[in-house]
Amino acid sequence: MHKYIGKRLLMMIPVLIGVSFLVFFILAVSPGDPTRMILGQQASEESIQAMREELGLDNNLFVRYFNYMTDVFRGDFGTSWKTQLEVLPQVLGYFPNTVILSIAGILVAILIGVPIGILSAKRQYTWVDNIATVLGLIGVAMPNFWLGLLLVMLFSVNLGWLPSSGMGEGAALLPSLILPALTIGTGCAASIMRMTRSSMLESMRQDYIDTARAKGLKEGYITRMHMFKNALIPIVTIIGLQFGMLLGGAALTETIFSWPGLGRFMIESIKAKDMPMVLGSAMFLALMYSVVNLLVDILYAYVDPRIKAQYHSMGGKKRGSKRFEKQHS
Amino acid sequence: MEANALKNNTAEVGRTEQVKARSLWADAVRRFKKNKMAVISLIFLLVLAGIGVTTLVIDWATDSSIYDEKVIDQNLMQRFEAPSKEHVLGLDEFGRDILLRILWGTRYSLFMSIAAVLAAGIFGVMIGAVAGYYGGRVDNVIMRLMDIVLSLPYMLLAIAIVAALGPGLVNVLISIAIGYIPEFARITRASVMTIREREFIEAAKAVGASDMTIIFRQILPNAMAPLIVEATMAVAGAILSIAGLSFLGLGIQPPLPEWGAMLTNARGYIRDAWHITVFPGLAILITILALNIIGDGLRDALDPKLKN
Repeated sequence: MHKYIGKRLLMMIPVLIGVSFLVFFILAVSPGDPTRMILGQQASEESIQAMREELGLDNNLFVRYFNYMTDVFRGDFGTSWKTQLEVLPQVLGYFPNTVILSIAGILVAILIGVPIGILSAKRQYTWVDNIATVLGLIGVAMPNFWLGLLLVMLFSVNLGWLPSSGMGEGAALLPSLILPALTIGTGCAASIMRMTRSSMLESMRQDYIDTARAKGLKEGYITRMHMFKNALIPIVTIIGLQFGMLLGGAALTETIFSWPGLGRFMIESIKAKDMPMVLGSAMFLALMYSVVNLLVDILYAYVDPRIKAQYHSMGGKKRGSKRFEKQHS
Repeated sequence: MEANALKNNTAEVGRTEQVKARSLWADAVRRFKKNKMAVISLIFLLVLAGIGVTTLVIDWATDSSIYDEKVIDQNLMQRFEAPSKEHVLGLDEFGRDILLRILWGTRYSLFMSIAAVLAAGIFGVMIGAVAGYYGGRVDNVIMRLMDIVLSLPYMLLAIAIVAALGPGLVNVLISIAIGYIPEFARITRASVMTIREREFIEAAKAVGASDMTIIFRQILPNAMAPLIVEATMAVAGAILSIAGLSFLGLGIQPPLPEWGAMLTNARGYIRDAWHITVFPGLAILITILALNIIGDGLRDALDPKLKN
């Protein structure tokens, strides 16, 4: 078990380096002279040269990446070109709001997706299943920013039930969270539903289900303990993936609802051409996404006893299965 | 005696197979036709593409005068006009016909997505084919690079690339395409790795075919099925991403009638005119729905084993 987690943590290092380099590479080589951006078009040649040296722009890309990452590990994500504020406190200020929204969104998705998926599988080829399938297709195809606009139109403008923008404090948080969470969660709900359905159908066909029925167990118990538990792995996988996607892709929903999250902050920084802020936000979101994926991998070990067993079993067997994994990956 | 019977048997099997012989593609078409939803979706998409091409021809024939007059020029006197007989979907915040804008927007939403996926497909297939065919270290390096691209959330990657390059048609196309390259590479690699071990590849090597000939003439045609399915789904995803980027103001810029860009201002006019919000979004939804259904249908038709 510890070995499994340790291995995952080690595998994480190259991923983090790769991801951070990719983000840095994309955003640091952007055309346009940053010194002009900071000092303005009228700046003298000397001050520009001084600025280039201060920013380390004359170094090659790898040196600049190395310097940037060294600073990042010291907690220094640089300072804004526009406001001269430090990047990290800004990012840390907005990020929790994105997390709140993502958690609410994934909860909505689970609460909608899993029960409908189970029901749809248990009643395969009935009208329940057909309706669920159609809803799933629509949910996946729905542009979520459009869904957000429609929800605002219905619940804020026409019915006046819920606020259409901003993030409430204290008791006002929940009402202000409902529409954004529905917006961001619907697409995920559809994916989770489809995965739950197919995974349940798979485990329903197993022989041990017949055995359980032959033993005279109650159908509800079989559904919960025998079918659902065995169907859980792909469901957990897709929930984890979707949660990571929400963290990284919340920009659209946050923009519609003026939700003070990191995604919206990043978009605003892009529009303000404030590169250190953009880089800091994107870097932070990308790293968080990788960390969430890692946590999901570790979660497997708890959900799936087979993984635990693999690391308790004989060395020879493990090596064999590893070769198997390699060939089939 | 027994051997003779076996011979007869195999001859018979051979004969019946010969009678039934159909090509993979004819077989797939036959299966696809059975799926009514998929056929309807395909017809819808072909009609939409036909309209898109027609608008391009009209612009070419009229030197864009209709485009400028009806799709771009503002007519503030009639802004927010609700749907009517003359303007079936109503007029937008600048008094432009929403239906015409949606139809003229096909080139940005649909054709650009197809172009982006084609570009991603060409690069992805080449990368995946090389990785799968040569294997070993080449494969390892290439696929780890692909993994890194895949370990960024797609939308974040697209936003970062557009942030770096700036808005504009080509830049949006690049930002959309890059995220899809790894997916194509992985699918191609997996197919290539299984096909490369088959006898006919050995035969091709034996007659002295070059690596490139083997990859492009022998292996890839046999790996097309999953790629076609992926491409269909990817076009749907690309439409969504282009619309999302444009909605954020990072993609295709107003006044161009891209469907997501048409929604950019809608947020502010929700109280005044519902039709500005509803119709462009509906166009996106229906098109993506059609593409997804076609994709599902193609997957079932091309690889019946996968159907559950």
